[in-house]
Amino acid sequence: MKKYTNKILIITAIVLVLGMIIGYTIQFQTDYRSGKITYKPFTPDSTNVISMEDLEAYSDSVMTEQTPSPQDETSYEKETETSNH
Amino acid sequence: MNINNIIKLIKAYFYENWQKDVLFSFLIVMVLAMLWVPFQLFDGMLFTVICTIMMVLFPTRAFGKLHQPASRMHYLMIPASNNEKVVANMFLANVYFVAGMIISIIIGTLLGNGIQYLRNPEMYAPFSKIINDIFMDFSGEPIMMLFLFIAISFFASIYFKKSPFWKMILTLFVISVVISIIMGVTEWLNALAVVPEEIRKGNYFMVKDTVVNSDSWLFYLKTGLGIVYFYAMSFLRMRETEA
Repeated sequence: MKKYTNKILIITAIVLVLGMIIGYTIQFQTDYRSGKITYKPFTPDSTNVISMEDLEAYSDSVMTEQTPSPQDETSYEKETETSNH
Repeated sequence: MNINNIIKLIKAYFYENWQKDVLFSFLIVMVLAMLWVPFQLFDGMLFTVICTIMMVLFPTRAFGKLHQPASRMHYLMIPASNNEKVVANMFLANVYFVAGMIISIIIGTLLGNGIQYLRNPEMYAPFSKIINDIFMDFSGEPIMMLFLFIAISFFASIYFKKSPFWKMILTLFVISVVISIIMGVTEWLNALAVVPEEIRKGNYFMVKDTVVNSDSWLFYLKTGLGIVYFYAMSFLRMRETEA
């Protein structure tokens, strides 16, 4: 019996590679012409890098949101005191 | 193809290998699930990866006997056709082992849940919630990918004579590198043809619209065709091996 497996595998690989190149090319051309693919100038803003000042300001705002206010603390202390009595 | 022969082949496999499967696969997964639920010793993703690797590794052993000189003749002389042997192994890889793994995970989780309740009732989560967390990542697309990889490793077990798993991993790695290079070169050539020169040579970067997504049905079609292709190749290779 002749062995076909290797030949079929090679043909499949060639067909897949050609299909990928043609398919991707068509997709790229269509998307570029319809404006789905665009090129933007590379600026520091486009990298989404957060500066240290912004990071510190953000962490401060988060911390102040989580910390209970002095009023809450006193009311909690009062509650525990009354419950202990 | 005779159904009775296939059933006999599956039964023969159980008699010879059930202890090995229970000890080295199902029990390990069960213990891992049992430890994962109450103690959270490792990441849930790691647990999923371990189970997936085991399910992909199992079919690479399917035709091990075929490539060992001592057992090769015995395997080929078993009174069943090659197609029946392939179908029986397909059942073992896709149904028996996957079902065994799922059952092991469920039993392990149930036991782990019990331990958690005894250890710390306040942290106890309902069994249904934990099972939901474990199987949450297994939606349609990952399941199709899992069965595609099972089909690839099934074919690798017939195609490669020695260390099919590692050869399969190496082949897939080489293929993915080649695909990346081809895609990169294609994109560069396309940009060369369409994009204006001042943009190509300037400091620009490409932005793709997030709407550009391949359709879900296309993914299922491609994966389904891949599964059928690898099983068809397995049947063909098995016939050639006999000849």
